[in-house]
Amino acid sequence: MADDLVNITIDGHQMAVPKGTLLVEAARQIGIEIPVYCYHPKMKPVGACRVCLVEVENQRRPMMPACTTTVMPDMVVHTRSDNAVEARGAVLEFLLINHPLDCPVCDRAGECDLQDFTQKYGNGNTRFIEQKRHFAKSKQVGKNVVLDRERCIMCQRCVRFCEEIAMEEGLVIVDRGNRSEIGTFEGRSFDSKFSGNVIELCPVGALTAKTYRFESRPWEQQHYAGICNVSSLGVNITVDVRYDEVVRLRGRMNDEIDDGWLSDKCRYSHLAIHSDDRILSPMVRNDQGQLTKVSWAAALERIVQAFPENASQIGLAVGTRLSVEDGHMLLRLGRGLLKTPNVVHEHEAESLGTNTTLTGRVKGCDAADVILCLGSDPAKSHHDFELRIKKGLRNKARLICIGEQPALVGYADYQVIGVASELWSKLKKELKKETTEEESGLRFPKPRPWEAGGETSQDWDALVKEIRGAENVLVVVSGDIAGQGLQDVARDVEDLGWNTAPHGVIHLRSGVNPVGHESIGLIPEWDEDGNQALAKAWEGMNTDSGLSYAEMCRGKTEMLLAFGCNPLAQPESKKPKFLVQAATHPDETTEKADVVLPLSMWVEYNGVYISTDGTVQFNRQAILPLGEAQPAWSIARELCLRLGASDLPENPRAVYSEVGSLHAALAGATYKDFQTPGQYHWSYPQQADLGMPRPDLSAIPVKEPDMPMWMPAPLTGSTVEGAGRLHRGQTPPPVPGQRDPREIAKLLGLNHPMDRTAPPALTAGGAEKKDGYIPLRVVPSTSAEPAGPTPAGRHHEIGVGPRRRVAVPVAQTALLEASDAADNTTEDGGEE
Amino acid sequence: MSTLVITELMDIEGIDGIDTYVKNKGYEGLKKALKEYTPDELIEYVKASGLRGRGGAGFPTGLKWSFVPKNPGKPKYLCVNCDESEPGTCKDRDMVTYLPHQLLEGIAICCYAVGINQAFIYIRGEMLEGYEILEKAVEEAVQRNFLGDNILGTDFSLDVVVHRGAGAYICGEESALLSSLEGERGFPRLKPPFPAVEGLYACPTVINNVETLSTLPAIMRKGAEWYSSLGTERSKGTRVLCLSGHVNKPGNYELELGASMRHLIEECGGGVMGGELKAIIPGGASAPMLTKEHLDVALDFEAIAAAGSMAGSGAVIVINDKTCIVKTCLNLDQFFEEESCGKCTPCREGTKWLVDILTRMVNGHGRPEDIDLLKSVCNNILGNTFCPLGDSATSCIMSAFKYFPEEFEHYAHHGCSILEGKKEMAKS
Amino acid sequence: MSDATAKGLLTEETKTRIRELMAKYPKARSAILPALHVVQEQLGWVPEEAQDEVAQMFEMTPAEVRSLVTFYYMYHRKPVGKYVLKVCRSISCWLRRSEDVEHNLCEHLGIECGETTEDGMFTVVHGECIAACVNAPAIQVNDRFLLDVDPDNVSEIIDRLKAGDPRYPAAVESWKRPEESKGE
Ligand SMILES: Cc1cc2nc3c(=O)[nH]c(=O)nc-3n(C[C@H](O)[C@H](O)[C@H](O)COP(=O)(O)O)c2cc1C
Ligand code: SF4
Ligand code: SF4
Ligand code: FES
Ligand code: FES
Repeated sequence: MADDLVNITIDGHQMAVPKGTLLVEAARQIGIEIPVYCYHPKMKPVGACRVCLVEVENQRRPMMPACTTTVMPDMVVHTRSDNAVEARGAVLEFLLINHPLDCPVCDRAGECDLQDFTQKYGNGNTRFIEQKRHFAKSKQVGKNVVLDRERCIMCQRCVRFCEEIAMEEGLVIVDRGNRSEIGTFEGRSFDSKFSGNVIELCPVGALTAKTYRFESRPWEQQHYAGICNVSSLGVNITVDVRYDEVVRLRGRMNDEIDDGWLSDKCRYSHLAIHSDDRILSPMVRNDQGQLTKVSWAAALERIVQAFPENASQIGLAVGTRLSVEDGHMLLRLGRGLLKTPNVVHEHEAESLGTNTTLTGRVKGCDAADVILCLGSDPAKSHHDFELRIKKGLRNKARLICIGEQPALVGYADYQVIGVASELWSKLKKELKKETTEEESGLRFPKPRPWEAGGETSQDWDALVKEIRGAENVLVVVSGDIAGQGLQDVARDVEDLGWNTAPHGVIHLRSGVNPVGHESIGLIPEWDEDGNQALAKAWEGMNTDSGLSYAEMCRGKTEMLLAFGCNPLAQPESKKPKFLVQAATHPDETTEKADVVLPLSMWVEYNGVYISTDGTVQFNRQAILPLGEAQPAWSIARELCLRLGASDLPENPRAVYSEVGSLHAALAGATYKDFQTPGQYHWSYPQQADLGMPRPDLSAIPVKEPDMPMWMPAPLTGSTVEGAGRLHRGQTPPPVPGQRDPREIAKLLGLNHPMDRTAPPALTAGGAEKKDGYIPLRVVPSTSAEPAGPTPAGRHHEIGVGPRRRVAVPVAQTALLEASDAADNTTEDGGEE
Repeated sequence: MSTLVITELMDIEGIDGIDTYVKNKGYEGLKKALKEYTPDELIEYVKASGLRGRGGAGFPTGLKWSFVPKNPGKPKYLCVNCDESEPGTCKDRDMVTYLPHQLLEGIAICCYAVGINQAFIYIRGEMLEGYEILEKAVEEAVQRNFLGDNILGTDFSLDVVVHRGAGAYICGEESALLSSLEGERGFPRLKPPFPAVEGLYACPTVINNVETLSTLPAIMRKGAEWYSSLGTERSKGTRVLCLSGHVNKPGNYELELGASMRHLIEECGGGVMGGELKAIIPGGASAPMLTKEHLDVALDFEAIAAAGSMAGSGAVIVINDKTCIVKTCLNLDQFFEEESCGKCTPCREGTKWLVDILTRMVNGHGRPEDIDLLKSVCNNILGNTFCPLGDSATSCIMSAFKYFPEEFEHYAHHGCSILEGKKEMAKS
Repeated sequence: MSDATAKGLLTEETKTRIRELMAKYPKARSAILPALHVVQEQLGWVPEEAQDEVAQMFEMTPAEVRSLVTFYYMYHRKPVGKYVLKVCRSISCWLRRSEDVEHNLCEHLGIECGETTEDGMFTVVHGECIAACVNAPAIQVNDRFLLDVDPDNVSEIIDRLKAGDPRYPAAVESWKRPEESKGE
């Protein structure tokens, strides 16, 4: 063991670090900052910018870049010697001589590494009196990416991202020497699915987002740790909020899931939050068939009156973008109080129907020898997953795609097109055959398809050989094919031994939180044995099997309550007699609904989400709910109250504790789980991962989120108008020592974003579009984007075989146990 | 008179054709190597000859070869560096043009010693003629089985590809050459890993200069001992010196290492042209200048280094006293500014800054503080760059400051060259 | 690859030559610089459409090809004259009056450095050292050397080129032997 450690001295501190550690990383471990520009922990070091130069004793060239130099035995390093300080100052001066110094109009000001390091290490004055290099200002290089070449410091991070991480056409360096500039192919736009990452990577203001241009200053913002609400991958994000407006989303490094990257689909999903067509007040359809605004009380009253005598004529459909807490309260409302068996989430048809716990993790791509994709293109439905697969490819994995359409075109080593389930049975048989062949020496120097000249193979025998030879197979089953006879996949792979480490199986689910909802029973079958605690607590609850989502959509119940989903967009759908929808944005269902309730979006309340590979994660509330919107759990609670229940949990924390005490799959869960480092990621700028001396957050016990928690005002009473809550457009509490920006805006004759008029009332026809907002709905409000053209009616066919309770594929028991211990020691409450 | 090793055959009519070359003991060195030596012995033999690289750094050739792993489990490559772009240097071009087979023979010897079956000659794009000649020579050599499969009946096979560059000085730097040969921008690469372990296509790779390899056939024919008897204690053999600039008879002269600059300039070059000697750049544009006081310095690696410069590519550039040193520095730095690859900050920005300052001074807008500024910018580049190109850009200025400070002072204070006398200070 | 459908700028012959080049290397991409030379030979320069076509052949992205074309200064990014006169401006040539060569050439042709004459015959550019330093001042005419140029008589160069001698001038013997110099 000790052989792998190397003793070094940095600025007089002796330390032992593993062989191969870079000097920057070693210094960071003991809290010594070495500034970096080109270095990024997720990309190969290039040593281009030279800002990280440190002095190393006894070297021919004493100034060595800390980002490319690995530790050597008995190395003595100085980061603050005269030479080091001088070299750093020199590099900064060089970077600034041709820089336009236009910080006052630069979006990056305040979070710019050039600004920060110059302040810390720069020389303070300029000796440059020559002509600066000039480029035409801001050039739009992509749909949402704006480039200012004068500000670029040529760190190549953006270029390396495109080439190394995204492995696709993107930004390149044009020309050479000091005439170098970042560019694309002449006349071609940089429209990658991942283009936003280069904005985040750029250490200066050379690459900025069009949606964010001149919108906000970093020092006006608060940052919250969130979870992406677009796909079921559970990508970690930072939600940046200016007053009560989400101005941007950024990636938040989680090695287990996203590796720090964020796809554009998620990155720009915040545009829907403040879009003009948000539904912001309760509405009831009047006699003329038009939706009219009413008070919450009136809307709820209308719903309660509409409940039919026969409880089984009521259906509750739950969107997967809702949190576990939402699902739990809706379950309480449905099975517990209304006593209907029909409470399901919108993607229940995809559940694999197995008791097997799937062991695959998203991170498994990194070490896999073979990544076997079954079904539709995983990169189309789960953009962020594509980058992880590519990481696997770069490491060593072979990619095999089997399905009806070509998947991951250009990256797959083997591509077999045909009916996935049939091909799977064939493959399965072949793999089970005994074999004595040796399959080594297959790898070098066969070119990979994604390297120039490589070709995708369709050679079935070679494919089978490749899989057989692999020591580590990661099977990726696309969610939407699960209902086509592939429910047996999990059992098959179990037989093949692939569901035990180092192999693994991932079931890529549609929607966001289907795994979370399944873990609390939002599926047609009710598992009585597994839910005894619940049955005891909710006396008289309905424990029958109920209707499937597809059946509900087809109007099988008299009354349907759709929370955050769009049943009338389903094939063969039919409006039931009475239709209630809680929604964020108008859709097909809204057009026909009798009652429409404004639903909060995910950034507007705390909630727990379980990702497709079973990671349980906490999404932090970042803004107050817009208008009169309410989270689903709160609406459900309100209806429960009206049905005579009492002792209901009053906030998400309490709901989640109830989940922990009642559901076997999440036994013992509480919000304290998320204090465990690694599970709960407190928000901080990404620079913290790059060697910046921000506090080491994992070492500090995480307190409850320190934003004054918004607690939904109880909806009882006749009106909720202005019940002491903050609304959009209402004055936020004054920040001490800071002038009210709106006053300043007024003086300047500008329209401050917070003074923008409230969105217009919704008419039955949908939303009016207004200037000033981008009425872009990045995310369809029902489900994940279907992958390619799918034959109608595929997804939610009835009779897809017996459904069993899905054991939550979470490796979290250990975590829960750990949190038990924590429970006894940490404080409680603090949410009010 | 000096013994000729590399250029011995140069004068023979038609020596660029294979028949003439073979008639004049051509490919005998290769035959001897294949017949009499195992690869390991051959490496020792070349070590014993004391041959050092002629590309610039003067690294012992045999030692370089011995770093290559014996059985890496992947192919090994040789890259012949014929990117010759260092201002003042034009020996490789002649060697390729007049003695292509000598180079190919050297390549074959090297590849046999290191166990390489694939060699690339990276020839700079501007040498179209050299490219054509080499292509033809390779064809001839393959026909005669000096290259190709099972060379001369042994189980040693060698494929040689002539590869054209496309105009970038930096591609002469060995790792940039590899990037370029792989079809990328000619950015230098991180070392380690060194090319001997992970070079072309991440496989072990030897990179040698044309002259280095062209020396091998003669060493094989006449013996390592004979070769090491030439030259000085630590700089063995001969080298081709490119004498250019203000001399009456510029040209490429092969001299034994240890010959003095005076010998080269006065005896070979027929003396300084158009005036008195002012400065000598002894190793290509990257080398610091020396002055007439250094005329008796020997032109070997150690002696030149001791005098404060470097032997570099063996290009000796002579500058007479009618030449303005500040303008000379400007010209030299314009080269480095133009050719900087732009990867690292100090070189990319620094060379431009130096050129800007010097241009301003030469245009009559110099300021007294520019002297310190120039020194400081040089200092800020020096030792902080990714590859040696950035450092090279400072050597002319730093050495000029050492020997000719008054020329800069004159520009700074009088707005014109010292050679033009004191003019009115130009007003900016 | 959609060679059959795309009616690009590159001729079949050019493409065949490029494919041959690709086959010479362990990894096809290595042939990209030689391939771009072939393109320039056909078209006189490397226009964007051609870059795109080359990218397709190499399965590279067009942006990468652009990045290469702009890094290597031998590729012309705009159309040039029939004869490109590249004047070396580096130290050895500069010491031997390359500035005058450039100036006189431009003056004689009535253009600025970097420009092409109106009749599309001549382009004058300056380049860095072309490895002919002992025959300074040196210039290149379409990648062929013209050595020991007389700065005061550049019109002769133009005249002979106009007369249509495609291989004018041939390379001049540059090799000097110590003995020769002694003899004189
Ligand atoms: C900026 C730079 C340019 C170089 N140019 C050349 C060159 O044109 N030709 C050459 O042979 N070596 C050149 N070199 C040296 C090579 O990097 C390398 O040391 C040499 O090719 C090794 O061959 P040798 O051991 O035979 O000398 C250059 C080095 C640097 C740093
Ligand atoms: S645009 Fe930004 S990320 Fe890209 S090279 Fe320039 S400074 Fe670096
Ligand atoms: S020193 Fe100059 S040539 Fe070398 S890597 Fe840096 S920028 Fe490129
Ligand atoms: S060189 Fe080390 S961070 Fe750029
Ligand atoms: S300096 Fe002109 S050819 Fe070398």
